[in-house]
Amino acid sequence: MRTATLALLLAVGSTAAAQEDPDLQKVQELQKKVHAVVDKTKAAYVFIGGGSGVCIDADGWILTNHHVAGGAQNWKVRFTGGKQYDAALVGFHPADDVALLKVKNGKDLPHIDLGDSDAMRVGDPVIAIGNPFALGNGNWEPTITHGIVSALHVYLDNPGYKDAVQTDAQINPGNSGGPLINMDGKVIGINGRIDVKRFLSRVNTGIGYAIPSNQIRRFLPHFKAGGRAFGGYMDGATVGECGDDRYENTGEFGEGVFIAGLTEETPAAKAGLTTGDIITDIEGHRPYNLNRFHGIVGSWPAGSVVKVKYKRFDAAKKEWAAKEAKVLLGDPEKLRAQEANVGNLFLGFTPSYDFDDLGVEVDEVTEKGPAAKAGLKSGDVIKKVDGGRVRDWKEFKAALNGKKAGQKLKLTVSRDDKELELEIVPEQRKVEGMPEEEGE
Amino acid sequence: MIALLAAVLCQDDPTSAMARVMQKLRDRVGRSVVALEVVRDKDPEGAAGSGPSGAHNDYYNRPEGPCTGTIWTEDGLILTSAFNVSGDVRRITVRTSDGKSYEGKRLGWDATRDIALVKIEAKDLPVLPKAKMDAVRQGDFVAIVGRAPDPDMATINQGIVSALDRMKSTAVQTDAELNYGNVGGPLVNLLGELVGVTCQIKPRTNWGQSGGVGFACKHAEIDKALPELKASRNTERGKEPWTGITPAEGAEGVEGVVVAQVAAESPAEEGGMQEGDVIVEFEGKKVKNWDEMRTMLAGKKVGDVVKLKVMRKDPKTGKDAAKDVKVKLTDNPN
Amino acid sequence: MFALCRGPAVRIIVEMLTTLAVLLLAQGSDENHRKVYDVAVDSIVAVRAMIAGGERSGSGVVLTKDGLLLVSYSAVPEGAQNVRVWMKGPKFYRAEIVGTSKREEITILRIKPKGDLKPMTMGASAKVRVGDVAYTLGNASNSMINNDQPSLNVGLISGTYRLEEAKLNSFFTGSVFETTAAVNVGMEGAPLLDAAGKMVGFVTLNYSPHRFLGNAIPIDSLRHSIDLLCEGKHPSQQTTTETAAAEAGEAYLGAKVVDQGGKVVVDGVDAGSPADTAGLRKGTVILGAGQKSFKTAAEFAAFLKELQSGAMVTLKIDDDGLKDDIKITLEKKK
Repeated sequence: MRTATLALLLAVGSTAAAQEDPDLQKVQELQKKVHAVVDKTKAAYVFIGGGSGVCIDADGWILTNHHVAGGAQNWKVRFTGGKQYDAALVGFHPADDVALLKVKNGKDLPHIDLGDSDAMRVGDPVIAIGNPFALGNGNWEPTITHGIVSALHVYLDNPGYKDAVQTDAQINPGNSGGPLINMDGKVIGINGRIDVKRFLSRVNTGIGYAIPSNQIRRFLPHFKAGGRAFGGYMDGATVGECGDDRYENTGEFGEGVFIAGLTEETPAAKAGLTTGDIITDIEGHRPYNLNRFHGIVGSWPAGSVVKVKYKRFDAAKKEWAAKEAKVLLGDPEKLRAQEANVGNLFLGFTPSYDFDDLGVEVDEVTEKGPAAKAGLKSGDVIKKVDGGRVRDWKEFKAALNGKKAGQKLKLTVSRDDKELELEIVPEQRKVEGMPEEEGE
Repeated sequence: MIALLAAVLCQDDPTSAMARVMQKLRDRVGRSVVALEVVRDKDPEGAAGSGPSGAHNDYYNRPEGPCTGTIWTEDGLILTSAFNVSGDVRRITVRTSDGKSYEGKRLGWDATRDIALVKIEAKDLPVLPKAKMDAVRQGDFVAIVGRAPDPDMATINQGIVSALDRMKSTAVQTDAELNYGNVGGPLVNLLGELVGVTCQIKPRTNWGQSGGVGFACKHAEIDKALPELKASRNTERGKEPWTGITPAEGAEGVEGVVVAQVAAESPAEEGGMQEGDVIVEFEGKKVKNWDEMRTMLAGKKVGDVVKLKVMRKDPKTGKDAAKDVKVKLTDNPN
Repeated sequence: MFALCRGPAVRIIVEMLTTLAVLLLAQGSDENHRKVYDVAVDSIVAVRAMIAGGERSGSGVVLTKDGLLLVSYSAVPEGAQNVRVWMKGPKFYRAEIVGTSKREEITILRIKPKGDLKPMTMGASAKVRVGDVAYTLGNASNSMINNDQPSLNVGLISGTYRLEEAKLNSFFTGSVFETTAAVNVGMEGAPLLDAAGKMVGFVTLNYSPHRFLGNAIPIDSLRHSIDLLCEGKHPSQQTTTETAAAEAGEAYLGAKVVDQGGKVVVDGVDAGSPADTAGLRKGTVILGAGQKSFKTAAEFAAFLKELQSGAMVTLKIDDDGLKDDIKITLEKKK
């Protein structure tokens, strides 16, 4: 019996590892995984200015850091290999260091999908693609580095990385804006910052930070709509860490944050929260200290409605009651004001970003929207708004500044070498979850 | 019985496999790695002060003690980085892994590839097999073996091939940590085959030490340079007028050259230039982008003083203000 | 069962097991990184203390389930105030210093946890080999204090050598394990973990100017002092009962020594004696003291005779291959 077992073991040994060295074969399997991810993703890498970006869509939406691309409206970007395209800055979030560019008339561009950053765990292997020290300039071959997820949900001040992924894959100046990619070949973060305290040189010592893909995904519609995006916050709420012994009934350290003060008529107050409540869960995340609380709410765009679980102390029964609420993040007044300023009136078309100083080219027209009703068609080039010349998207938005929903606007449009005049009536852009106001 | 076998298989996890592969590599490859003790009269290349302000003093300077070399032929040709044996060298002592010491003679060096040849009188030295250059890919697992700070104990750093085509195609790039201790040592793949000899770490390089950016001169390139090196003929880098700025590429909305980085102790730093400056004029002529400026620089000589006009954002007003700077061009150290 | 192990059945079973093997292999070392984190994370602490120059932060591990912790002397030196400890949860505690050993860069703290803590499992640093996979896990850049996130970094043991100079806020010199697993400010006191998640080293911020990589003190070289400090028996924890007015007469060490193979070897130690608390034990070889070396027990006895009670001597010893210097305060013979 033992001889047979031994024979079987030997048979398994020789079949399972046909080479002389089974250890080598195991390590080569790991190497194969890295090869597969590199091959799948490197074509979607983009060289932008002094930094990096990644294309996440065949039409050429490119993610990067605000500190890489936020300083200019128009960019010439190159994909791996050197093919150059014109791209425009569309949306950006300076506080959290994210920017979105769009390749002009982009089509069939190499791209990779955003992954689920909340599904990542400490220890998961990742690769970073970037252009440290501009080493890839010239032959346009980006740099690949390999490491693991070191920590998650890291809150950093200045710039405000709210919910960063920390990695020991080496990231250096020039990697900024580039993707952090998991072994499924999906972007789980945009690299942007490193810690150099150890030797005080601008060189990686094993700590790099990336803005997580889930945060970016939530902001994406705001970026695509154009202009500046704003992060969420609980308007009018002053919070403290649970277990703060300067106050009564503040719970256990680490279980959440308590509301030390809450202004009346704010969204949280209207949702039913009050001073003394302990928030224990926001959208499935526990705000275990102040940093995490600000990190969670900040990783949603202003105007988002988030599910909040909290508990309230019943002095009579001497026990905590569990409660739930849906809270709008941000200040509704400011949100409405921002809309007008940023030109987020609902127009019903997306622009193609043209830099030939000719005007704003219409890309897609939303069915039954204001542009459709006005007769605007894909391919039209808007040259004037109410008689004023608009050469690009920036000038177009400026022309819309101060205009209100319901107000008729005259558009001078070029179509098939002919000029047309169309009348568009912008509608009020709906912010998800925003309470309807009477009299608007 | 299946459960028993499964248990047996489970114990042998890939982490232990990686350790054993690395240990075998270190033992095998380490035999072809030597320690070099270089005694110098003058070391002009060896120090760069403290680099960007605040950096630790010894981060940029050549440390005392051994560095590393790679056995190239069994009769005693040793390849190392040119930096390792640069300066007024009085004596080179080479220690092999078996503890023997030899006197080394510096033959030729090649500044473009940053490699140099040292000769010792020996025989039957173990030489590393060479990897097929066209089979090397981004993502390949590689390791660097070195022999410093302790010449008797080999070190091993592991990483991946980060890029195939760097330093004017003479080198591959790796994220295995490269530093003054192991530079000159071999970059090998999982089979222990030589991809290249590590190089391009110097006091003024931006990528510093152990920062995840390192280079290895491809063995095919070394073979190209070998006849000159053997004949003790040196290949200087052509003197290239250098400002020390790293330009940002393609900032379309901005006319001029955006300064992404200013190298430590460079002409640009000495002239008072800063990151974020935009160079709009070069010697009174408007300059639109880096290609134009590079052409203008090519017409200058090392030692020339050039006048640049830069636009710099005033932190108080937030507005751009023009500044005139003078930059004395030096020879590109990279 | 015997009948099954013949013929075509063997092939089927082999194929099944091969598939099983491939499935197990496919997990990759990803799972191992996660396993090490899970095994060790509840034994990791972050620490912060107020010293003369301001606040210092660092890392450490749980030693006992009732609240003894090992942290870095760099973060919590002798005399530090307001010592605070964080653990994953987050959990917060105030701590008191039990004892310190500056040259070994260790400090023992006590906290009062509500339940049992999970002590860190120590590994055998004698078994560590260059090439082994290694991890660091701790309060890198205050990731634990600010974000309740112990930072995990992976690399390998890239070398072993001696650090001769204590740099930055480090106080340790001696043999270290070098690792490519990232070590950063805040990680001093963190464990260096092996592939099984056991602690084989104690991270120090000291570094080699050849390498600029992380280093850890082998845990075996610290175990003895850790044990003594925890028990309050470390020389540094003894209050001197002798006054300046020392008496002539035989100073009491409390160790019986014999001649063995040309060496002076401890044969027995009186419980509670200066020799006992200093860690001398049966088998310890006494090599010398200061410039003197002892070849016979008689020489050693003569040396002791000349000393007064209350004298502090530094003995050079060899404890099972581990050479060390031990400070002993001699007592008055009772």
